[in-house]
Amino acid sequence: MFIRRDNYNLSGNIMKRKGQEEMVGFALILIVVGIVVLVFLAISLNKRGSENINSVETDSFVQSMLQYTSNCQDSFGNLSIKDLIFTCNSGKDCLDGMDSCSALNSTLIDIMNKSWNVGPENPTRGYELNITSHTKYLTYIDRGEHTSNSIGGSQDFSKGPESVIILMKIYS
Amino acid sequence: MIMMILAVTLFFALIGMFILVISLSNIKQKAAILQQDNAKLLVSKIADSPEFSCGNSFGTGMGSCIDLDKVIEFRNFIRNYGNGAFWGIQGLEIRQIYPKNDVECTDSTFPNCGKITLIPFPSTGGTGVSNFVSLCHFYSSDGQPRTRCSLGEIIITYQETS
Repeated sequence: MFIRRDNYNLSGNIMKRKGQEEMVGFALILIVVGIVVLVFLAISLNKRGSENINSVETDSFVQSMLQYTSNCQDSFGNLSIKDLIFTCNSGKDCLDGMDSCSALNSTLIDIMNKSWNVGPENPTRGYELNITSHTKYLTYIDRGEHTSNSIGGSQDFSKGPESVIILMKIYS
Repeated sequence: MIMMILAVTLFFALIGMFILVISLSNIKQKAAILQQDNAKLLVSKIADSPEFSCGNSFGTGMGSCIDLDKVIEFRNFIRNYGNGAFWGIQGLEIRQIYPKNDVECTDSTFPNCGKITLIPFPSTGGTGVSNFVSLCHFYSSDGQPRTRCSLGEIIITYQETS
């Protein structure tokens, strides 16, 4: 009888130990899954931080801006911004001797200032305009702050062997 | 054993719901941007219609371009379009942004003006949306026809259907 009680106590202890092992295993699973989820969240939130969405508004702006008639002239008349970009890229000057790249830069700065009202309390917090050819940077305009929300527009075009890319971002 | 399996299943279900909430949280923002883009596409559709667009008049066919010479005459015929009902809009205005000019265009002020009100904005209100366009017109210089394009915007007002 004495031996039977001991056997009963022994089997009870074994059951308790098995239960504890299962709980420890469960806790380990929870910890591993929790770490995996945290890593996944960190990666996905980092990616979302720099999301740039292409927008009809910025595409229209870039298209319209390229058609603007500047004050820089060649022998055929006033150049559009698009033609002025190629003139700047080829290193030629305007008919009045003004440097075409300076004319391009100053005109684009004026256009951007008048078109996008930048301010810390405005819907537009900043903008960035980058025009490059396959050989060099032509102009870079940056104003305001860069936030994680932006809409973008781009345009690439070519004239003969010259090709140009325009990238624009509006930060909100 | 069964209780543990149930607990693990419930735990993974909660994790899955959590991940779903995080991944779908950006959908509202994307839907708002899509709605804005659709409204701006409506504006672009009007700007690219034959009554307004430059077509090939200013060289190679240019998008987002409004022929001001056409529009200044079109003011007199806007009634034939049901004052905007043809496009489903209540108000229509074209403004020059750069160089800035707030002078209303009439037969006497054109082309030294910067604002054309084709359909006045309704006093009852509505949803306004605008998009950038190029405003182009012809002028004469030394007896030669020249073109000049400025940066502008076309603004429409429409009634949202709920």
